[in-house]
Amino acid sequence: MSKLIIAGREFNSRLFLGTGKFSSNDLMKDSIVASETEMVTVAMKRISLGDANDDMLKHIVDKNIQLLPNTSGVRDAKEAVFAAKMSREAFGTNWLKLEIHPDPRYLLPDSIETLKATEELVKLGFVVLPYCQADPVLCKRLEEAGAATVMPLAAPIGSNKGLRTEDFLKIIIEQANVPVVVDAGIGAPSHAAAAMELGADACLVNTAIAVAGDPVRMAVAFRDAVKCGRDAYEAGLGAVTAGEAVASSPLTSFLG
Amino acid sequence: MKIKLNGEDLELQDGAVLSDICTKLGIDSKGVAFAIDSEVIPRDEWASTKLAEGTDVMMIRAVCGG
Repeated sequence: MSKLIIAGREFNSRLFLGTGKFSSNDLMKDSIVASETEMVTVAMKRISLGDANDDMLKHIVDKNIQLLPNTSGVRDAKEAVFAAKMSREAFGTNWLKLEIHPDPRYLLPDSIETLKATEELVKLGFVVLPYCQADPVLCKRLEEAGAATVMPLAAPIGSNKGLRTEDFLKIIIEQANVPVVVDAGIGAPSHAAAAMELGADACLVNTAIAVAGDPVRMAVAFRDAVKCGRDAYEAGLGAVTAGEAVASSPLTSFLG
Repeated sequence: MKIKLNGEDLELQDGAVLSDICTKLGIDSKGVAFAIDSEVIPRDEWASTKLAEGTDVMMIRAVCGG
C-alpha cells in the first residue's frame, strides 16, 4: 500500500478514526491504537462548570497522530470560521474537518456554506478537509477553492448504510486532483474495502467501530479492510465481463 | 469578582487574567480555547488578558466526536 499524502504530510494509514460514541475513553484509546490510524477527529464543546474533569485528549497518546478538529455544531460559514479559529488555539493545528450540517435529522452538509467557508478558511491558512455531499461538481469547486481533500459522504452520518452514493463517488475519484476521503455512512469493513477498491484515498470511520460489540476488534477489521481494498486498487482489478464465463483453466483435450 | 463563563457565574480573584480560569477549574490548557465578545483570544495573550466584573467569556474544550 502506498503512502497517503495530504498537504505535504505523509500517512502510513488510510483509515481515519472518529472519536465519538465510544462507551469509554479506554475503549476509544485502545481502538485508536489497534486501528493504526494516524488521523483522529475531535470535536469542541462549550465547557460547563459541572463537567470540568473530562479530558479526552490525554487518551490520544501517540504523538504521531494528526488531530483533526471538526466544526460540528456550526450552522453556517461564519460560525465555521469562528470555530476554526477557536480550534487552532485549542489544538495548536491549522488542520480542520469542516462540517456544516444545520439539519439535525439527516445531518446532511450545506454545500453552499461549506464552499463559502472553504474559500475563506484557505485564505486564513487552514488545511481544510471538507465533509461534503457526494457531488462531483461541488467537489471540483472545493478543490479549486483550495481544499486539501474532499470528504464526500457514503450515506448519512452514523447510518451504517454503506456506499449509497457509489456512482457519484466513482466520478469524484475519477476527477479529483486532491485525495478523496469517503466519510460518513460506512458501516462495515466490506464497505470500506469497496470504497478503497474504487480508488478512494482513505476512509473516515467512527460509528461502525465505536458501537461495535467489540470496538477494538472492529478497529482491526477496518484496518485490514482498508489496506486490502487499497492494495487491490493499486494491484489493478480484473475487468468485469458482461456476464458470460471466461474460463480460468484449459477446456480442451484433458480426456482425449 | 464574578465573570460570566459560557453564561454561568464564576468567582475569580480581582485582577484575574484569562489563564487563571484554567487554574481555577483545574483544567489542562491543552484542548482549550477562549473568546471574549466573539473575538478569539490567541493562546500567547491569555496571561495578559485581564478580566473585569461581568466579562463574558466563551470557553470551549476538546470532546469526543467524529
